[in-house]
Amino acid sequence: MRLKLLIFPFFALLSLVIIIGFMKPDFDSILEKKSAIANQQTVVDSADIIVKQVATLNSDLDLHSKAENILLTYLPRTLEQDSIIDAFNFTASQTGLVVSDIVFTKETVNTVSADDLGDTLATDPSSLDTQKVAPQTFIFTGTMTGPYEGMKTFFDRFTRINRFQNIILFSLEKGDAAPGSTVSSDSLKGTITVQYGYLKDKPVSSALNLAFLQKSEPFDFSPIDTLETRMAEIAPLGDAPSGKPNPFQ
Amino acid sequence: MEETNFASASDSSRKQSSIGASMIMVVIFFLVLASWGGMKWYIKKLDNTFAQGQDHFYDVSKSFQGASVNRIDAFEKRLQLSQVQMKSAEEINSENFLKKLESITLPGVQIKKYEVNIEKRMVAITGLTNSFRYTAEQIAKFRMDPFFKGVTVGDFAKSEAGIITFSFTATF
Repeated sequence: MRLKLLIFPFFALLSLVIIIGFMKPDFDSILEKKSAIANQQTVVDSADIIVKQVATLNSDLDLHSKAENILLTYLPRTLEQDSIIDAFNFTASQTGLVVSDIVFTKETVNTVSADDLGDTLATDPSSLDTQKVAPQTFIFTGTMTGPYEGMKTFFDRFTRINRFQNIILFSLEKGDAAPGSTVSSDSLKGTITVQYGYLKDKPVSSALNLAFLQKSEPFDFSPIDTLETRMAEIAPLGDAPSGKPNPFQ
Repeated sequence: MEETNFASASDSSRKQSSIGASMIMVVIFFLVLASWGGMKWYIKKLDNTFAQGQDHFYDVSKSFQGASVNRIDAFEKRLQLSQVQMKSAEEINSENFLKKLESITLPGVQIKKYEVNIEKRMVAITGLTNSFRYTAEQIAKFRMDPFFKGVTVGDFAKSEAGIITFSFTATF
């Protein structure tokens, strides 16, 4: 009879022990696991979007292979200095100038900073790898001689060649006509110093670090159209508004 | 006798309520056990879901590297750099500098050297003339032009033939 009286406290105690000692930790564990699964789901969803975006953008590039090639010519994987010599010589001969000197200097400092790359890259912490994007550069200095009109056309055309470039300096100088010289007294010496860029392709460690893949947006090819137009467009020489059409005469 | 019967009835009622409470406690205990079992089952289910998620992520992550990703990354970088470059190219145009020189050079002045340093945002000009008046007017023309700022006059030299060589720099 007395044993019967102990049933209630015994099961009550046992229930409490199970609730506090086992069920509570399991309940905490469930909450943790649910939170981990929610986080994992976010990552998996994001990964799915990225994989889908990689496939979409690749087929987009397949359809726009011309644009891809234009950009590869514009910012090649290697120095490709020969194309610059060729363009320099071709433009000079087209505009009646004579090339006299070409110098290439290797440069280690890049001029395009991350700040220039816009808000997207600067503000997104996941794009840290991309923030370091900057082309490798080298300096080209070319010298040529010829008339002023030719120089004008030359500078305009040469700065439109299909390469990534920053004009650093250009100058025109009238030389002293040496007695018996075959060079016309109207002849000028022109110098142009340009920084050219190229971009070595680096393998991507993980597409998860590429901020632009997180947005389901297609490539915007319009800058390439602008680039193509700018390169093709050779502005005709306009009349000087006033003053002297040739200030060197 | 009546007292004995009353005590016996009260004792029996207490016993019954004690047994009832014990039975309820036993039921509660088994409910607790069943809940605990349910929680264990749910934890196992969550573990499976997590493992499936990991497997899926592992499968998907194989596509995070490789030629396709490298290709679009290279294209995107070039696209961005080209936009930056085009923006700066719009600001600097060699034709504008030459047109500017043509428009403000005085007829009595001959420019000997015109150097445009875009990096330093500065032009350096050397000119020839036969009159100091033209020299002053030419420098004043540059100084008054809104495009040029901070005109700094350099050296002057007059040759035996009366030709004045002057130089100055201006920022833009």
